[in-house]
Amino acid sequence: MKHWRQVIRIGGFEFRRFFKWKQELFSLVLIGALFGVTAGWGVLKTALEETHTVAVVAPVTLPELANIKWQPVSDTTTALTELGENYSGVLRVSASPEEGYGAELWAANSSGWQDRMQAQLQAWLQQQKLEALPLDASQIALLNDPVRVSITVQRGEEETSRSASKVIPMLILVSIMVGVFGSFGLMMTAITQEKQQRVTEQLLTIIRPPEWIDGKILGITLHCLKSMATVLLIIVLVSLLMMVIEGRPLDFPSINWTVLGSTTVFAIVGLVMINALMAGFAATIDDPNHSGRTAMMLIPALFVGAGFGVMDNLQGILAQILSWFPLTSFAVMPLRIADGSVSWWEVLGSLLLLLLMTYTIRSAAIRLFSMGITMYGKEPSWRMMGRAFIGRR
Amino acid sequence: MYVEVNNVTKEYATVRAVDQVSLVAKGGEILALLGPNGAGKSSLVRMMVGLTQPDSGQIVYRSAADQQPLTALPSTAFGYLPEDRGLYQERTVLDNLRYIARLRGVHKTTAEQSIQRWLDRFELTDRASEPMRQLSKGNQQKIQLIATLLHEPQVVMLDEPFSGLDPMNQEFVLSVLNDLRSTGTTVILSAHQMALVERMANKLVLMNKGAVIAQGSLAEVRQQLVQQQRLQVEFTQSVQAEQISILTSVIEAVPLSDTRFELTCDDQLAADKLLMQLQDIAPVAEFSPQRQALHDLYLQAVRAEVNS
Repeated sequence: MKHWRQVIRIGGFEFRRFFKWKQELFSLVLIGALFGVTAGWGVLKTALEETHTVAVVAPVTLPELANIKWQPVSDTTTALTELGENYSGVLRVSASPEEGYGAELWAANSSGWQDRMQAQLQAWLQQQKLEALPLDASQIALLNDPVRVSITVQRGEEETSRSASKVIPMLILVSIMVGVFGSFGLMMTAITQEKQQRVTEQLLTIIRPPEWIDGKILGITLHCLKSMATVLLIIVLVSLLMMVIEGRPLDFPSINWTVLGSTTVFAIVGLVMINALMAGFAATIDDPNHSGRTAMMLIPALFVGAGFGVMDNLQGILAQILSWFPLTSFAVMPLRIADGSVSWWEVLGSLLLLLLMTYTIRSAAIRLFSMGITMYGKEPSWRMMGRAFIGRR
Repeated sequence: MYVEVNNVTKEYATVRAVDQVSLVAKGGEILALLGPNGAGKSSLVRMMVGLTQPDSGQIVYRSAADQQPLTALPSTAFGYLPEDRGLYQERTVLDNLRYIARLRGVHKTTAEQSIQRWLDRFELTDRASEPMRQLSKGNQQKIQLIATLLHEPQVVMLDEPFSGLDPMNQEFVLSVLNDLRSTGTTVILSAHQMALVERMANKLVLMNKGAVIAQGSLAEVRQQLVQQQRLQVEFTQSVQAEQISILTSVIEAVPLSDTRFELTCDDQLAADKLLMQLQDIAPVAEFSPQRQALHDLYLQAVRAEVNS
């Protein structure tokens, strides 16, 4: 009981140590502002863009385009002498079955409005060409309708498009990646800073290494979960806003609570395991700015990388193996669960193995932590670390 | 509470950091471990707080009430100020103190009262909401001392509590330690500043190269260390140094003037016998034994040990 009371106190302190309201709000406002600028960039750019006058020789009336003013002229030769002064461009258009459909633009210099005009004019001329053919309206509509090739995944009574089925696993992996990277940064800072600020010796006379490491794991895991939830929330909000701005219907994949629940459990246990590993290892680093071991702390990112590697074939043997392997299962099994290609006993078996591995790593990390935390100005050798990890003196 | 150290030895690689050390510290006493760098003071303190274990010998804690040995010293019973010390620099003074108090198991309300009382005493109340890094080194040291004391421990172990403090703050810490003694707390500290320690410690343990070279009260330690005595003598008339140095008990006679001399004598010599011998040379106007500082006595003892 005393152990857990201390763990909660340490966990709370570690969480508060890195959670700063002002910083959190600032990050959210910054992300919102970035999104706002990105979403509104096109509108802003068009609004601020100057109008370009283009001299036109054309047998037809051209459609109105934003920020472009058509100035009909009789010949291109005269207009070209005024290029760059009175005209931003000179355009010659042919739009008849006899002359063909096309346009040629002369410009004084290269600019973005030319690409926009090119695309819009191309579409308009294509339409003109179709209308000139002896076709009725339904035939023209048929020609305008692009050919689609879609893939539908049918599994039992569920039927989802393949692109939609990839959204959830991708979200899961991205959020786990955020958690793992957060764990790397925070645990490294939490422990090496304590060593550098010489807090360790005083604390070691008050708390035991298992209490300390469990408290750190609790606090940093909570922080990582907070970061994961924030990232997911931002992705959802940004997607919603994009749909509203673009006038699309609010089409979100429905929430599968079983998937969400099991994914959360795997993510939490996985983060606890990664944090335990990080805590043990970080305690052996004397100065993160000079230690060659810092890069080793990126290894857990490889475990998540395994998830990205098998995402295109979640039914495959490799995906099945990695979803059972306890160092990668926290990243791969949620993908298979979201894919719907896994039975309940596989989930349970994989979770048990993950829990066992987490406990083993946590126990080894306590030994590493106890050995490394009071070493100032030096680092234990790999041999010492290996012996501590397996529990030999 | 009693702290007993019995024949404790600790070795690191090829160095014997602590060599057969024994001592006892009781409630209401200040025991000072003195010695140069590498004497073994910090190694001994670290064993007493349980950070390391002795290779041989034992450290026993006994309750003041029934003298029964305790199996382990609970973290609430002692306060430890390490030599390598620090607190969370980015957190405020209050956050740091609350955290340490909660880990020590002090109730929230009691902790707040205790923190407030100590901050008032150390005149740091108005700095409570500032991050530690904004405080001067001396003030940070005071906060660390508060963190060591705020749970009212029965045993306080302070490793170099005066280092980094200016003379004013050294005096201030001295007064705090005297107060702790008067409330029955056992205080064990290590220090270099012998002049300071001389003024407050009940017991002194002088160490060199891991071993104890003298221990006891100040008078007892003096007795153990003093091998030579210094005196000053003033004659009513001019005297030659050779006349004095031929006396068998006088090791050296340094003239300070024609009539005044500083004498280094064998410690076994009785002062009244020497005075009679000096009176035979010339009438003595003044005869004063010089009291040597502990610092000098310690240096003499260490040098004698090196020479032997």
